[in-house]
Amino acid sequence: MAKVNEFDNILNECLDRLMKGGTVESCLHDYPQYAAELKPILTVAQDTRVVSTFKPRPEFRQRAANEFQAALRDLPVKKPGMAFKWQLRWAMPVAIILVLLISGTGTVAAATNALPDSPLYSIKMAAESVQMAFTFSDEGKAELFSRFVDYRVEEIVKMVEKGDVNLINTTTDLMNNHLLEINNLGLSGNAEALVVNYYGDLVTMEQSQLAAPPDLGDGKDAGTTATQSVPYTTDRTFDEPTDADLLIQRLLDDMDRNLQILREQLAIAPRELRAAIQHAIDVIEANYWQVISNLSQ
Amino acid sequence: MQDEASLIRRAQDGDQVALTQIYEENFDRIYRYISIKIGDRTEAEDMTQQVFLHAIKAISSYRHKGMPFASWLYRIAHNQIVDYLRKKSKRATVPLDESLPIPAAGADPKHLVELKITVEEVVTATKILTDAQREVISLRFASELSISEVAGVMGKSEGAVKALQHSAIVALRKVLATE
Repeated sequence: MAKVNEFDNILNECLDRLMKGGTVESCLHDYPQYAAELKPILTVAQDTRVVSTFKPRPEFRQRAANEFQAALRDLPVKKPGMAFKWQLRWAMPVAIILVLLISGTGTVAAATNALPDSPLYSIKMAAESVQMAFTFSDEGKAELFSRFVDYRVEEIVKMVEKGDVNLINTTTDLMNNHLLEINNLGLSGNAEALVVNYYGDLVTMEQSQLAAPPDLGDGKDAGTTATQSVPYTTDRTFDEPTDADLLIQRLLDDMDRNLQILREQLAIAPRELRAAIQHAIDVIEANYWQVISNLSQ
Repeated sequence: MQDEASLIRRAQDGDQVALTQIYEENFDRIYRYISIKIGDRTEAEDMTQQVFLHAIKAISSYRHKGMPFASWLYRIAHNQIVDYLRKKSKRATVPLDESLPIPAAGADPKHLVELKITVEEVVTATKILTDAQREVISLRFASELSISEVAGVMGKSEGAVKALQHSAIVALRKVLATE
């Protein structure tokens, strides 16, 4: 029985090596005592590996992707709930402990400019949690999360300079979490008015026709720029903007600024970093518009 | 694993970028797994699509239990296959022969034909395996999962999976050697 187990273990190791590009011969060389038994089995296994070359037909892949995206758009918008409350529960004790531990030292100040590859970065993250824990209004929290997104974009730019694709992706994940937290705040405002105002400002600047505002119910094609063609009339009146409306305005400005920064990086970055930068751009576009869409409900 | 936990949490919060990433990372291998198990292209395509549509509806109920998230997707796929096989009618099936490997640019057409024949032989040969053996071969070779991942999907010990893998390859050898 023990011999059988040993053989199965060796066979499995050889299979792992085959699946990572190793050869039958190298395995036989390493286990000459089992070579006679291993050779026919590994040869069959190597033939069997061809099933991993199956690919879905391109037309099926396209159809399936379309249906998947349609299903995503139909997903109900998640209402603010337990996740944020749970964060508040741990954020406050952490904040208090951190304040007691580190107030009066220069550590936090030194960590302000820390990058994701720095040992001080965790201090920076903790300091941001403290800031958040002591920000009590939802509008204030939303603005703070958006400011954190600005910080993450700055860090991504630095990581592009360093050529570290993994940290670009990690930082993009953090940025994405900040945007989801804004979503979870459950703020509301007259987003339609603000989007129109936003594009109206661009019209003033560019002396061109106003483009149609994005479809706020979808958020998918929302990256359309104001210089595109569909005319949109603004002969409607809206109520005076509320604090939440002004917040949306600021979020739109933040999105625009951060997209511009990242697109500039995309234009000059080495080829191997471009996919990660594009992913960061996609995250900002999709999530800011999702935030604004939710705020309008 | 930390990254996967973060990805899943975002997906559970309805983050479309995260859900799309999960889809992209798993689509091909779930398709291969189903294809080998049922040997019918049209059904494999429909079923693959259903796996992901079901996953986005049910992801909020997913709880991490130490196994990779993909195990959960394979479990959904497995359940669909079981349902399919139970209800399978006598209608004609479309064999996998059109799911041939996508040729790389400049690939040798002769090599491609040979590869296609080998794929067909292997898929045909798997029909003599027991359900458990075919499950192991599908997960291990079509989806390229590790032994521990296969064990997680099948709810068996790693030792049992290794033994099934061994017996499956020996059985395949008998069939392929006589062809």
